[in-house]
Amino acid sequence: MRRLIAQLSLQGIGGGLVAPLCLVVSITVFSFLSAEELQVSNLKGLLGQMAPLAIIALGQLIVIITRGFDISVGSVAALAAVISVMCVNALGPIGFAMAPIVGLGCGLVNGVLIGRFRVQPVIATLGMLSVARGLVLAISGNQAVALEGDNPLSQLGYGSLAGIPISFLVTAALAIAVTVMLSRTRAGRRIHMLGSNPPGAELVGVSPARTLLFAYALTGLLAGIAALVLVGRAGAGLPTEGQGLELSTIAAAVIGGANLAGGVGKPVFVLIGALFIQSLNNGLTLAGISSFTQEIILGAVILGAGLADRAVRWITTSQRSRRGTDGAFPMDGGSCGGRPGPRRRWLRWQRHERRH
Amino acid sequence: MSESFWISIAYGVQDEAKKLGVKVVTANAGGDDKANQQISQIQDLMQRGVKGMIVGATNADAIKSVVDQAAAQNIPVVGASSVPKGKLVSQVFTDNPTMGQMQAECLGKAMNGKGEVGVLGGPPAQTWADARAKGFTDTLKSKFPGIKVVTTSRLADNRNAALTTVEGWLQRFPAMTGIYSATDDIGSGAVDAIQAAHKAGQVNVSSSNFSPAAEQLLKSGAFTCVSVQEIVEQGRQAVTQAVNAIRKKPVEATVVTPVISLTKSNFAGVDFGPIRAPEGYKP
Amino acid sequence: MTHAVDSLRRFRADAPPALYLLVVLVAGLTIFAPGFASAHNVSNVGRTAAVLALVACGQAVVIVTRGLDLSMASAVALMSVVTVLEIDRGIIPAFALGALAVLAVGAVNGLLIARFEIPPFLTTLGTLTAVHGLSSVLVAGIPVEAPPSGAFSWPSNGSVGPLSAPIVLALVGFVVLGVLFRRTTIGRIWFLIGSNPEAARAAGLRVRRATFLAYVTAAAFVAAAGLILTSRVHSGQPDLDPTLAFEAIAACAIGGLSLSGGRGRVSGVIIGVLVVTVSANGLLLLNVSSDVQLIVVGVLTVASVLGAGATGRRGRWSVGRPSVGQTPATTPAGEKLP
Repeated sequence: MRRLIAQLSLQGIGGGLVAPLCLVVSITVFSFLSAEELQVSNLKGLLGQMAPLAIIALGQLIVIITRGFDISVGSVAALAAVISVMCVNALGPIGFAMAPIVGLGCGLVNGVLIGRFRVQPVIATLGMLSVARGLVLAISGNQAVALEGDNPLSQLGYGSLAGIPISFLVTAALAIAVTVMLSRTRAGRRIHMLGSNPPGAELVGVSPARTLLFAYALTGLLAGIAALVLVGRAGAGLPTEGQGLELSTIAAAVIGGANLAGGVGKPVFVLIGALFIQSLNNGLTLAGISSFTQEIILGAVILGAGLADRAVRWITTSQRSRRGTDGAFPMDGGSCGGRPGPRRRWLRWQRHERRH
Repeated sequence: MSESFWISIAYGVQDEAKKLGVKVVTANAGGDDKANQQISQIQDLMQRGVKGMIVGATNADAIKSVVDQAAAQNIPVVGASSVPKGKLVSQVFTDNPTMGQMQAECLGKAMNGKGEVGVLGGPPAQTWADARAKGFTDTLKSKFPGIKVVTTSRLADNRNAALTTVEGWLQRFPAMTGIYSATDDIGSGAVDAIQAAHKAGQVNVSSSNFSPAAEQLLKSGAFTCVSVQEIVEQGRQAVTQAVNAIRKKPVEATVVTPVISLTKSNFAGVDFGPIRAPEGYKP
Repeated sequence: MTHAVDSLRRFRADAPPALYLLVVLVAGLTIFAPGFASAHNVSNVGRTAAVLALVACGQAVVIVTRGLDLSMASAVALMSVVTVLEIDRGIIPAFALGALAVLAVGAVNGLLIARFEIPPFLTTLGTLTAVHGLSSVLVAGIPVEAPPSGAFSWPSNGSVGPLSAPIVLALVGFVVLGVLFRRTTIGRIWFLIGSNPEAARAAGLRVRRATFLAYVTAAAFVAAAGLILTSRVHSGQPDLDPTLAFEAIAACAIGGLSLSGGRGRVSGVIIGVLVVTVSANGLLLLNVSSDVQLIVVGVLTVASVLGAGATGRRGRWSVGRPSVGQTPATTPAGEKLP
């Protein structure tokens, strides 16, 4: 069994093993609570509902790989939604283009602050969280802005194609795009390099400023696209929407195997992480469990995901001799699938440096 | 809206449903800003095949299309208190502008028709909070032209934030003698600040809704008056209308529950049965 | 004379750039904001700042170890709820139970972060969510009022001599933090963990124990803040002050603490806390609309951290990233290591 897990994780699945595990556990548990949870139609509902969460979690994954995170995504999505609805009311459907543009703009600002000026992500995106929320409240006059006339995006919010929710198709397409970007393009490789070994990456000519700018801009763009799904569902731009989304998207990414220490994460598992959080909400609601108890359970699940991730790593590293770790820290493999962990790699690089 | 409000609604709904012999499933979106979560929950309930639905909207516009979808599936939807847009068989709500109006009348009288007031308007982007605050400011303008609204905050929507805000206000506007608060929880923060500044008795606070905290503050005179709606009654009426719709009986399209202005003096004679859930009730 | 010039120069080099911002803020507000400099307003600012100060002290402890604690807002809310629910046992035992609840949250954080090495951000995100749920469940989401009592209000409204009680508590907090950072072994271990965990381990230090203690110590500071806040709102509130932890992080960053650990001074924390509180108070006194307040606070936070970078204190890209070219075993800004 250990060998099997080790094998899996050697293929880079180790971190992501947690998410499917969680999903299986949750579906098994809910099947006792209510029969509805296992119905195909309900699964379809879940796939449609999770789109905003999943799309932003994909963005979150990109910056988590660079050892950062973005807590402004919820405010940015609200800002993008409200501005785009105002533009649609003034100019017609072309105004929807404003959502990704606003998202991208906010992302660029985050990226410049973090990449060029080296402000810590938590501070830069905290500032953006506050600014974007203030802006959206100011321009909307503290009111929801409803679309005048029919909602051209209602298909994106509620429609389905060949029985599959359109919002999920969009999510899946974005997940594929992000996967390709991360694994097949130069930009993706730079993001991975920067996340797993920043000084090393800089040595081989990866520009942290440009790479981080690119990563945060993409995250903002995805928040803008998620805003379109929110508008599709609500038919209005809500200035207060998205509070708490920043944390639940990070949770989805982490449950999906992204490691906050950087360098690790796969979009497909992030989708599973998002599906898990959505099914948790959905299943617990149908089981009649109060939203407060749901919070306790979600918190426990986040901690559980951290522990499970740790356990998987421990099992996989104990396969190999744990050489190099000092006696006091038998669990500090710090590595995934036998590759030296970022910190160890950093140390190794340092030692190398000193010799020269 | 404050949690205690929805718990009283839930009590009314469940108690009446028990009498009528129908089963209730409740879902809580977890805050006024969670419109998307509420849309998902309504979808889930449709999926689950409920016979009828009572909806208190997080935002009236945002859940319009999902309410229409439920109506299209022949699920009768009753709007309760925070009434959503869309196809409803019935709307049960209180008169929010009147709640604000009553606060204006009582504050105006207590301030003798002149002075400065601050408005703690409640959470942003909430229809009920907008309507209530508008009822307040409109009434002041028409009936008490000597009273001026000098400042407004929509950010201070919890007790601690209201406390800090009012501390600043009392400093900035030493002549302020009245404060409007959208809910009793926000109002409690204003009272805390006034007491800390040793201005108790000089600044009047009016509020809406009636949790146990508000009761203590009204008794002690810290609240000049509280506008109260029949929350439990709204829950009962909503169930009645929903069940009538399901059983194909006649339905009242609009039910408006009355508003009472409570003061220290008329407080004793009021029957709280239709207003709030009995103490110790947990949903 | 040269000596004085020298020390002045050293002070200028040492002073966090945010100090200049604070001076400008205070000067500007004294001129433009009516009533800003009045004794009563100064005492208001002091009492509001005291809560943030204590929480920021806690945050500073975990930040120098390269950590972070997001769960602080939930912890103070839990304290208020537990205290008011247990008020029948008497005021002091009730507050003690509330503080114990906060310490328990800190111990859970510490255990998971130190023993199981779950990233601090993730761990405290989990406890933030779970503990908020827990305090809501305890009171079914409805705030509970504490019975009127002078003793209950003392921590927020009382005074010790000429100073109000919260300010005294905050000053004590700063002194304790200063002693911990500069005079104790554990404090030095925290700095070493933050600047170079591998070196700390290699030196045979009990890194796990120290990390655990950092989160429990942070919780102790939070409990002191919770004491003031609970007394201040005179009730148990599941949503007591939802943005508290982030405000504290911002205050620490503004005060020049490096979020990548190993660097920071108590004076920085004090200045950061004052910048945050004074600017919020100033915006209120200027009667700026509430949404503009949000925008200004956001810009100010980033700008002051940017300012720190521009004046030669290099910012870093992200948590946990050692910067190129810095020898990790020493810490700048005069923090001596054992």
